[in-house]
Amino acid sequence: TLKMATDSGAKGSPAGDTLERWAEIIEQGSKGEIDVKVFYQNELGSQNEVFDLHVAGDVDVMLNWPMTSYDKRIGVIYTPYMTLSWGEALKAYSPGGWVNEMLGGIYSDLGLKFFGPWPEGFNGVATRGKYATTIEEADGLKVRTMTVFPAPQTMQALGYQTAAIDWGEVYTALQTGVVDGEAGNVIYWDYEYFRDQLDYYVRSKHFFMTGVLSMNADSYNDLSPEHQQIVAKAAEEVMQQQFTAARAQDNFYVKKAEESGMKYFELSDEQIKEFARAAREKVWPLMDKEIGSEIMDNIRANATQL
Amino acid sequence: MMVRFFTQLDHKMGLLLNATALISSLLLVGLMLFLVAARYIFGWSIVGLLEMIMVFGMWLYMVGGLIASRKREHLVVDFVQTNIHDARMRRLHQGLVSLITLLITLFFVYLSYRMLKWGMRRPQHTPGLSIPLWVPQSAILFASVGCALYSLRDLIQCALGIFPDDQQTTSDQEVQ
Amino acid sequence: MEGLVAVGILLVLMIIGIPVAWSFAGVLAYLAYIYDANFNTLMLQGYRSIDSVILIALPLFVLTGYLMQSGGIAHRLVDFIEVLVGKRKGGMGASMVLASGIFGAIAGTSTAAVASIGTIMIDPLEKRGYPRGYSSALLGISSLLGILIPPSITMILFAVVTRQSVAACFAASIGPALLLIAGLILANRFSIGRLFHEVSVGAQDGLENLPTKGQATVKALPALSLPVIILGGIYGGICTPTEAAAIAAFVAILIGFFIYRDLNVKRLGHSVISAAETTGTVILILLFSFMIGRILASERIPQELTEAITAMVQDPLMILIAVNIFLIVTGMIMDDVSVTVVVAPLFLPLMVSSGVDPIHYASIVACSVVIGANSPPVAPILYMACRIGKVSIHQAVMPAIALMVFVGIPVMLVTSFVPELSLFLPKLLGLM
Ligand code: NA
Ligand code: NA
Repeated sequence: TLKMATDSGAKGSPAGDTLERWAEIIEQGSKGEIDVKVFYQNELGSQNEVFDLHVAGDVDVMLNWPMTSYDKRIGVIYTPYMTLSWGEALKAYSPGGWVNEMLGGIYSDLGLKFFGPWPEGFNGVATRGKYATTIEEADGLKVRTMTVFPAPQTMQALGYQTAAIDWGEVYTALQTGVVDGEAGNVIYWDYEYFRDQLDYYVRSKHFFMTGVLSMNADSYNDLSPEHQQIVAKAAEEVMQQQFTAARAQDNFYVKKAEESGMKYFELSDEQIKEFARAAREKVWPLMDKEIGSEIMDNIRANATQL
Repeated sequence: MMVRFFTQLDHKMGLLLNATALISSLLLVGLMLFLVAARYIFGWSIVGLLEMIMVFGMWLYMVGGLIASRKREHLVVDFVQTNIHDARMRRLHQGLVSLITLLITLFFVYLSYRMLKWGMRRPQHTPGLSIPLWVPQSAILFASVGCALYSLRDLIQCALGIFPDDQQTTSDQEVQ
Repeated sequence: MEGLVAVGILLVLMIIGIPVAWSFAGVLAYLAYIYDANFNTLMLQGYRSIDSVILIALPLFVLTGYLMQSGGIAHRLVDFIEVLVGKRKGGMGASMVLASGIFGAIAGTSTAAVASIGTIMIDPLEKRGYPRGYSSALLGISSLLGILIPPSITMILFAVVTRQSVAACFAASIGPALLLIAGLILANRFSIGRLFHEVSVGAQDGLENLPTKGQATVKALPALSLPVIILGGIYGGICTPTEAAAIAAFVAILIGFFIYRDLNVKRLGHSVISAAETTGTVILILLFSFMIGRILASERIPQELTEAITAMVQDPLMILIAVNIFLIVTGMIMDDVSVTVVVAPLFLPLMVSSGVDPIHYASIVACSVVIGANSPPVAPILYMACRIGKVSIHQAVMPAIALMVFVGIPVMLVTSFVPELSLFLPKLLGLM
């Protein structure tokens, strides 16, 4: 029996559907020899907890959103403006791509087998009342960010004020105006959870958001070589599906958001580059200190030229 | 002699626990106010403030639980206790309760110990200030060990025939 | 089967007088043993569960509760309430219900109301002839108005897990909340003279020299400013509910020291330590029940029970009744968070196929949490109310069960079978 879980994504969400399909392929491929138990968002606890279980081998297979508590280097995934287009991003995250290889190494140090990324798309800033397409316009807008380094630092580089607010309190904070917006997710999350509170979504593209398909290394080694093959191939299959489906999914939720009354903004290349220059100038030196110059030099060598 | 030593030890322990509870409570309120003021009045976002608040919070929780053990003020369904009037039966009942509590708190100690041991193998840090997770987690081990020791105290006192309910007066007399 | 054994162990441990927190730990030991739990992560999960920013509101509101008492705030508020409700029959009990409702509009959790209202009102209620056990039971269920009246952490969790609009879920449970308020006030009125006799104002020491309405109001103004500050802070966009809890504690200190001057350093220290102790006892119970919930969830026990029900019953009406019963029973043996995020969402597809709107279902779930949190053996809110009310649990159990049977369950049934009660407001606000 394999326990499969995700930290973000209820049953029926894109992530939830992926788990369901992944489990199905494994069960069919092994002709029922491997039984997969699927656990969706929150069923086994918070994001931290489920990842703890994964590292400890209680959750064998997982679609997880990288957490930096075990290893700061996982934060490379949140290097602002590493890649600026879908084409580049998908190439970097594909097997053999430079981000993919970097993540694989870090995951294996944690005792996890890295199957591949599960891309969601470029993120943005969802706000209420006002919105910003330049650093100057962002002045005075207070947004909630992830607490992961360097998410707040990046938003500050883009001119925003930031606030650390627990995910469970975000809705109330938006409703009462403690913050003017929620920054850092693909539009799906803002549409799904906060659409009645938010008016604007500006695709600032500071991070390319992705989940990771992985397996606990001990659990993996306990499987027979044939079963290892089945699980890994199934992972590759759902990953490939997501590579083609991610953009369509993202566009689908842009439409849904627009239908629900949210205004959606794409930025021009010039606007994006202005953001990118500011973030690279202010945040990348901090990252040298936090995750090491070796990784950052690799990023400098491979990142999109401005 | 022994009783005097333990009474003094208990007194010192009480002071330490109260001081810890006091300091972490006041820091909790103070830091939280600072968080609001910094954000609302000055527009600052201070990285890691919530992490510090959570560390003090965890110590407050656990020390609070330990103070309750020390004073025997954990929530109890005291239906049986209040209905036993025979002194010997009462002593037997309290012995049984102390013994089971001791066993369970030892399980608590074991669980906390295993958490920290695993934490040494796969260390974690908070995202903002890189506070090692063992800092708040050791509060749990501290409380579990303390609770186990206090239940051992209760068991020994029961064996010696000192009833917890009038323990305070008894030990005071013995000191004199 | 294992589930029944676990419930049996819990009952035995608690009845022979093992502290509630350790009784839970005992059950945890049993479950960890039979399900072969991983000891590397078991306590880590418990740690994660209580390491929550939202939960920090608990010690802060407990502290505020103690400070309101030692700083003289409670005293002025009670004078004010006494004057207002006058000699009306059942007035004090009704005041506690209404005050809890107001607190519910301040905080996302029910614990805040238990701590603050309980510390303020249980003593005066006793002076008026209300038995402490009864008052604590009434406090327990009244405080859960905080779950039905927005903001509500329970509703946020449910909405997040089931992907419903939080605003719609918030609005849906207001109707049931009003019904519960009415039910509790009526039940309280009905209890007087039957369960106990209310002592009229004036017959009791100190109560004959009640200030005039004007005096009492003026004296109570600083105290009454506290809810205004909390509410204003939250709805004015200054702070989150958790942060508001810290502001409340701070303002309570200021009022106690500088306005009423009832507070001094020694009393402050005493309040802080008592608050820490109360918080600690509640947190240990939460810690172990969270861990029990985690083991049950990872063994899919709630899920399997759900499937069993689905297999047994098909008629929509029967399904609704069965789900009601099931939610109440799981609420008895699990904590509210586990019920909200693990058990309740499992029935959602079943509910939708029986013609129940998800938003309507949200308010049914909220009602079940109100009942569950007060139903032994796992009744954290009732236990906390007993602790604040300084009364032994067995004295509060019978009144609590009576309030569940005559008020809580009827409210849940009306909520279940009258969808408009829940859906009227969300529709009016254009949320669905
Ligand atoms: Na509320
Ligand atoms: Na219960």
